[in-house]
Amino acid sequence: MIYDFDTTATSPVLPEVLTEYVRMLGEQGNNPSSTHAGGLRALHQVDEAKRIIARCLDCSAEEIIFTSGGTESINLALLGASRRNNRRPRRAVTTAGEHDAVIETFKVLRDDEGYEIDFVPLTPEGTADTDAFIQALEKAPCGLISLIVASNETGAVNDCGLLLPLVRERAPQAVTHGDIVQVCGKMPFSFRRSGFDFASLSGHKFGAPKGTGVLLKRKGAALSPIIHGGGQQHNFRSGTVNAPGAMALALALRFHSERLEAEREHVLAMHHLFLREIAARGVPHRVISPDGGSPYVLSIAFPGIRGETMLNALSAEGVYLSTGSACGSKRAGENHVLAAMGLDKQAILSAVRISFAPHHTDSDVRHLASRLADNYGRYASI
Amino acid sequence: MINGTVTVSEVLLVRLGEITLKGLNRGKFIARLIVNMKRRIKDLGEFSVEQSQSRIWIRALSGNPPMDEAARRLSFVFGVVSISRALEFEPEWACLTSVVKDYASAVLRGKGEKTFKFETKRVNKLFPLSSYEVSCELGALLLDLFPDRLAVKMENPDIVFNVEIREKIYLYHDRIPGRAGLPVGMSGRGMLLLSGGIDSPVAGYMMASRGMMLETVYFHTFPYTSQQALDKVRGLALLLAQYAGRLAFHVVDFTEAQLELNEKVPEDMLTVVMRRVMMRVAESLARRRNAKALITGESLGQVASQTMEALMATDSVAELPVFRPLIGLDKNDTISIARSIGTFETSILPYDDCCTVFVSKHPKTHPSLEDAERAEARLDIPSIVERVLGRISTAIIDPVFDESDLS
Repeated sequence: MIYDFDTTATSPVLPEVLTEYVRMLGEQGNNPSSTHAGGLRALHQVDEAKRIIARCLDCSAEEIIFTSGGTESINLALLGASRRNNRRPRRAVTTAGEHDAVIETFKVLRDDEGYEIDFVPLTPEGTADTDAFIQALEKAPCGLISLIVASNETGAVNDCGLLLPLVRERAPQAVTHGDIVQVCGKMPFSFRRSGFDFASLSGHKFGAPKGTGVLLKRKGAALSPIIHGGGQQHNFRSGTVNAPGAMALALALRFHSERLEAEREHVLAMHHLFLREIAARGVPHRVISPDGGSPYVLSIAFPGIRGETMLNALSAEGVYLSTGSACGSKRAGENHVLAAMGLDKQAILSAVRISFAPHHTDSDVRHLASRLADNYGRYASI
Repeated sequence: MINGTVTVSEVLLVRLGEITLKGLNRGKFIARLIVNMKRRIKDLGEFSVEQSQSRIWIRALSGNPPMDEAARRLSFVFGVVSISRALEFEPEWACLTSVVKDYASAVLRGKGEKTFKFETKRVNKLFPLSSYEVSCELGALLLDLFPDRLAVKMENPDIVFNVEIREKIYLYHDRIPGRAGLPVGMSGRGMLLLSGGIDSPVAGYMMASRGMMLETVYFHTFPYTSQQALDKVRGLALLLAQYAGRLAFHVVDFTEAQLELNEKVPEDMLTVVMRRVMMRVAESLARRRNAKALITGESLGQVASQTMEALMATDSVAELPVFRPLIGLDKNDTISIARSIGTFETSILPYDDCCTVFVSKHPKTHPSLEDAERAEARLDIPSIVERVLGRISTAIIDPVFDESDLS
């Protein structure tokens, strides 16, 4: 039996979605751009998927661009928006807590297009430092802003209701992008009210298949394509639209949106249960995730044992967690987000990331805590 | 291959270096080399491998095996100085001219203007033309054939066409460098302590190049070291096997011993004591496997555990000779060998090995023998070694059959 507490990295396809997805794959499966009846059926599927997504994320169907996932959406938003807005100031403001997809894309803008990038430091709670954010906005004119809403490393949630009005006041010309990859299906989100011009999400983080994603683009926001070809999706993203994937993403999103409150409550209960369990077992620990963040992600350090050692030991027993974001965890001892929160190298080395999900049960969580405590006792050196 | 009416076959012509200088033992060296070569290409087809005129000749016995792949693999076999892919045909002038035309056309296909020359060696004095005449005639022939693309140049031309006239004629133009050295198996067997870093594979390579057959031992300390670290070391052993041939890969489950050391050994002496325990285990394993030496990748002064004193402290627990071929090498030289043998990219994969996980913050850099012995006072060493020896799993890594695993 596998106990998967690494669902921030990816999540299993929801059974309800899988059935429908497989059925769609098995159908005739025509190209939504074809004009015969089969093509039109596929097109209707894509349109229906857009309507579902629009209801879940409070946007309009025309604001949806299907992509292959979060990384592509982020690349399209940042590269596409900056290239289309070349009269805007070549200066971008983002945070030190972003996912690599944002950081690396900004490096491309810096190296290839002469952008100056301002990384707003994080508070010890893992959120963007508001004063530093204001300073960054006021320092010089700014053309592009990117903000992670919920951190994939710690679950820390940036208060967009506070930060985006600051942008509107101080940098009204700036294009804004939100990384909502760890938000969708996990907390309420309204694109309309968010104030973002763009927002990126990824299907496989909430029970849709890998290779599905969406970029939300506010009506009127200017965007150049980064993938060229047949001019699909109003030429913003060429390539045959993945109709079954689009529908699977929509269904998974709807599944969670309909249960958002209940799931969140359950996940929070699992999160608290885990912390109680390890405290009861006397495992020394230091919670890195802030209070009031996303309950789906818990960053926690166990002094005296490297996160990698804990991961290896638990992995051998079929219990999976992570030492950082999965994309970056191959670089041992490095975690730019935890470092930006001011954690020292020892704390970072001993940190693990535990993900809680709606399908976890009390006994799953107790099992995790008990295996973790046993392995701590066996391998930690104090 | 039938070329018009001429029967042409492809052979690999393998040149030998140091071995040919051996005296009475020469036959043994060559026999060993032939065995090693046959093993490396046995899955590619049926070949005859014969020695004559201080060279080794390889011919396909049936079918049409990939001679380029055979040549590539044989260039890794120690004892081989260089290899040429040659055409072999009857020693007739008419055959020679006809084959040369086709051969040159094939060599020049897709290339621009080139300079060339012929080098002829006539061993078979029954052949009517002298070496010089053969070169002149064939040169003239190609100039006629490719007037716009070829020019003769004696010093450093782009292409040297070699013609060797023996009982048959051999025609070739390329020369794949080999790795020289002595055939593996001629210098006994050594147990290489493989860590996963840059140095130890290079040390193994160097000893194998002197004819030593290798076995490798890796100390796995799961969960402190990961499954990826083990996979990486296995990958290194497989890369080494491309040169050293089939080798045994021993994985020691060292976790229990490590936990005991962590508990009972002062932190600043942990590295030295750990190495002394590993050395003892490696030596016992070496004796069981009939290996006559231990091999490590240590280089003097590189890190705290490789100072003169630390080396003495580890050496003193081993009775077998400990070969350290990198002892006087600069790190950059080691890295350039690692690059040339293809282990560097694997070695720098970021999975921690035991050496990086268990380094103490301030290790003793000049531990005396007494320090080491004192640090081991609370340990029952023979019992630890005995228990560890019971936790070894061994796999045979065969470069031929595991080749597909290489990525």
